[in-house]
Amino acid sequence: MRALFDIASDDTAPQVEQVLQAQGVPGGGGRSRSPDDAPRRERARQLALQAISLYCEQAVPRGLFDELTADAFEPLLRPGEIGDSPLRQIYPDAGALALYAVTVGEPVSELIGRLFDADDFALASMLDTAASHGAELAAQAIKARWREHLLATGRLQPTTGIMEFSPGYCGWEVTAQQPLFARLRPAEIGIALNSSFLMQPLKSVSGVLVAGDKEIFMFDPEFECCRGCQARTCVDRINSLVAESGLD
Amino acid sequence: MDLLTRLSESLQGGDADQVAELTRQALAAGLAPKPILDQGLIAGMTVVGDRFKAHEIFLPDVLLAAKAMYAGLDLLRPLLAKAGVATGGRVVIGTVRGDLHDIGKNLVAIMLRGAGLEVIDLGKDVAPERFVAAAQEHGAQVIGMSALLTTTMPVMRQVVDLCRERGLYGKVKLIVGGAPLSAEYAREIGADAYCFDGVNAVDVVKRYLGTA
Repeated sequence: MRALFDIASDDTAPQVEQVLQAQGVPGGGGRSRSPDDAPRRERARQLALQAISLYCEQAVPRGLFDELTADAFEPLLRPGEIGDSPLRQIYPDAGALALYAVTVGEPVSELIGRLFDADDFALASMLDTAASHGAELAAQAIKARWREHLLATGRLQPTTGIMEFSPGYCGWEVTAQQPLFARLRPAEIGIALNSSFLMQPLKSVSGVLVAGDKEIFMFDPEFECCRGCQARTCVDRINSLVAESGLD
Repeated sequence: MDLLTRLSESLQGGDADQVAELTRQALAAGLAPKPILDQGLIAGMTVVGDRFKAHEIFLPDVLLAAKAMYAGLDLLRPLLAKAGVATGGRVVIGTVRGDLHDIGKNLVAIMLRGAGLEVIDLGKDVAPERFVAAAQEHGAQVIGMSALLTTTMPVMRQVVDLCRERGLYGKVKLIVGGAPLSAEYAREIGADAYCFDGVNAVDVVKRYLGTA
């Protein structure tokens, strides 16, 4: 099944604490030791709230998913792949796979540029952070839509987990964007790919959704690709997967 | 408290309106633009940079201070040019060809300008030829390159190689930055330094210019 969705921008609005944390502001995990933190934290909080409000006004989130078989996915995994990777280990045991792409649209990126041009650097930076989170939340919204579809078609079990992977991460080479785009056709929701495999609008996310028994997603981050990885988001992702119920 | 100290402190507080007003007052009081720049604006930004490095303030505080700096600088710039005051140094900066991420590059440019340096911002998706030609045209001492993609990082090496071809290597310092980069990669491609953020870039550039 292939499906396109418009998503309400409010549904992809990040929490103020998420934005502050990404900006390194305490309350959000920053490391300031100054005794006069409170007024500056409050000032940053007001900026974050303003940025989130602007994000909700400007964002036009859209997404799509397109289911495919493991055999059809194999060629998308292969280009440029070096060695083993978590996804290569996981996807053959998946119960279902779907390519996906989401974007929050170009207007929010244009506004970020205008704010920088107007020397409104702090708000521009805050809005950039909010939009990045917004794109990730849009991806979660598409994942939720696919989960609903799996449930409706009787493919979601209590032990089923869904995890998303994107080219450029976890050993899946970014060059895979090209075959992924050729198959998924996200131009229909306004996403283009440039020769560097960069998506435009910038605040877009693409990849594959993998559904299967939660056990298939349990891996030790000791692959070759894990050595240079500083993010290590896989640990949180696996923990979240363990915590969630397949039939929620 | 003297006017320039008040100017510096207003800047540190990120009060752009107050910085503009105090800059006007300083000029009206007969102060020359250069000491207003050095002892008011740059002095304030230096404190901001130091406090950020010490984790005493946050990124939004730095960016609000930078906006305040620009409010004062906009008033001083024509006067500094008219007086023939040289800038602290000249940096050509851009996001490399194929890459459209410019937030990090913008933040570095803001901080470099805040340190009193002249920044020629070439924008994003910049070809190696443009980096080198701009450095030659403007007589820049430093070329700053940004990349956020592993696929665009190799363009940095092309800039380094082109600098070698054109005889700029060793004369113009080459600095790189961006999420996937490292000091090791900078060394590997023959760049002079890897900068992990805007404040660090200011330190590195000042060291190269002998103004640290």
